[in-house]
Amino acid sequence: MGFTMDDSRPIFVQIAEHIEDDIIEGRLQEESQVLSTTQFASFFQINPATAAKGVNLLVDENILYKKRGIGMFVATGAKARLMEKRKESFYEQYVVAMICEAEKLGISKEQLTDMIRRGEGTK
Amino acid sequence: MNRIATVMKIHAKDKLMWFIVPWFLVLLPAFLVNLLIGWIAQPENGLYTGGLASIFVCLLLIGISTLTKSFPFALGLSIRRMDFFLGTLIMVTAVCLGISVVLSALSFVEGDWGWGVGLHFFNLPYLSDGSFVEQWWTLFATAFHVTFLGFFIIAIFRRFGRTGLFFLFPVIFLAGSVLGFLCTYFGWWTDIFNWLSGHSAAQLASWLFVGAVIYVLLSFFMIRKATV
Amino acid sequence: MMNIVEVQGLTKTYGGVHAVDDVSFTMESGKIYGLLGRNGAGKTTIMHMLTAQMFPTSGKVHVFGETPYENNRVLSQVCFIKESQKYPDHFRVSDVLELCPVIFPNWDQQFADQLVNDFHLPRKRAIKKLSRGMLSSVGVIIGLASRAPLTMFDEPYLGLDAVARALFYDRLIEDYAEHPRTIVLSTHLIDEVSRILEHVIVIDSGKLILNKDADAIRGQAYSAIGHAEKVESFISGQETIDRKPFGSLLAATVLGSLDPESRKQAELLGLELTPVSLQQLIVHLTKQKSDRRAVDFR
Repeated sequence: MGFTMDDSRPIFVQIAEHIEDDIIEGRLQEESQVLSTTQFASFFQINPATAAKGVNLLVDENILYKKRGIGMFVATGAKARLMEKRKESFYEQYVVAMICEAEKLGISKEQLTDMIRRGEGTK
Repeated sequence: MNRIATVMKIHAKDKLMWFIVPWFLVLLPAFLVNLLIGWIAQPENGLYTGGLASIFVCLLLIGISTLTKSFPFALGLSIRRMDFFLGTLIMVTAVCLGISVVLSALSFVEGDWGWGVGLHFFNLPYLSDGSFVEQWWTLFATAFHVTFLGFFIIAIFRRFGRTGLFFLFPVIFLAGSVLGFLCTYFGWWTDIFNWLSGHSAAQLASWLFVGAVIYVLLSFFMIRKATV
Repeated sequence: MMNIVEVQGLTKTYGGVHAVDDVSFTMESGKIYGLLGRNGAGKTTIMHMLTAQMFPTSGKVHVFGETPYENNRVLSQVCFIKESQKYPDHFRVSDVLELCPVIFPNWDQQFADQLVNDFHLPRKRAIKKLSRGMLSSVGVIIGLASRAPLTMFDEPYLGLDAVARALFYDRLIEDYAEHPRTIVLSTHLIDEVSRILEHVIVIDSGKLILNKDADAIRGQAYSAIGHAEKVESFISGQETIDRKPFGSLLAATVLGSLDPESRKQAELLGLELTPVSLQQLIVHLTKQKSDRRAVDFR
């Protein structure tokens, strides 16, 4: 996730993803305050209403919650919930695609697990 | 009311056009040149000049330029046409009042004295006949007339564009020619001259004022429909 | 939310030419709108009619629920900054700025002063002697500091350099966040403003061809590049808004969002898929001068 908005995808989605990344990677701790929509807007040079829409998306998913008169905070357990969500999409995006491709190339299940082990070794 | 005052402020900011040019760049040099001629030539029967007309030509041009620049500016700043019109009307009236009062005073000062060189610049025969009020009225009505003549001409342009003016001038020319021909044909010229000379300058000025009021009304209706 | 602009069947004809052709839209309070389209598409004419500086040939214009013509209740709430704004001769920058507090009820003098400094605008200089960029910044300053409930900027940054433009966007976003109001940015340079816009109205040859939330348009088109025949088979049955052949290759832009199904299909055909930005999409939509019908997004 970069620091500029990609103009080919809805910006509110990108704002939400940006906050999610910050939470998953530990830059935003649980129960800490999130930037205000105005700060998001001026930092990314985007419409404040769009920034608010992105933040509200996460409020709806109980990742963030609002303290009246103070601002937005990261909910307890947000990180775990996000990890769960990302794992699900990891399966969809990578694992399913990998198995499809492996089938196409005639790679057997054993060969595939071998490859994964080999891949871990290079890390 | 606020916005009418703003329009007047817009006009008043242009001191150069409303004040400096007519008095100091037009009338004063004309006066000084005539004074110099009077001083050098020392004419026996006094020096009569039409230099006063210059300030009225200046007013004609002022009438034209209020609508060319200030109008689109004011409209662009969310000012109503009506407010622009009223503000301009008050401004023009005030300026004409000022000019006519000062010119009357100068005419009074000039009197028979003629600045010591027999110069008749402000105090002219016929024009300056009658009481002080009549003199002032003549000057005021004339000033008001010429300013709104300019305003009227450019209002036609604002409303009907260039084609409007292209039509207007031939029509005026044609009407004038026909009228002139008719006057000659029916021998009206003497009657007209008799009528004119039978009236004082102040009385004729009242007719000019009536004309000006007609310009004002017609301009108003055209401005109401004018676009930028 | 209240509609502060309502335009219905708006048409402006000049000697048989439709400068604005049967345009209808509404604008809500507190949003930033983009009025986009090519030069001469009719954007400026529309805004002139919204401010009653021009008269519609036919159609209805309501601003703040009333007709704007000779209506101070409407006009005092509107600030229209246009590229072609005329100033009286001999006017200096300060002369213009001094008039603004009376004209715009929400005028913020402090903000205006700060902006004059930010843009390095010489107060005492005659308007006539300003460079194009400085002239644009006069408009930008008036438009921002007026805080008018409906503020319209028509090509506000002609001649402004990148730094000054960034400054404009910064101040606009900050001030808008603090004082929400309806802002219309009219421009043919979509690239820079697109991220600021909440809603987009696209005009082409006088016609309204797109009226949508900006984020709803993003991701609503993509390009497929690959061998011409394969691209053709991929795009068949889809609404294609642009096709660019080079050699045996074809790049086609298609309306619609990318679902996993078509992703998979494209992969099988060996096509490369790239998302289309808001700006690219509008360029595609306005490229053809033919009268294209209004685009319908699903």
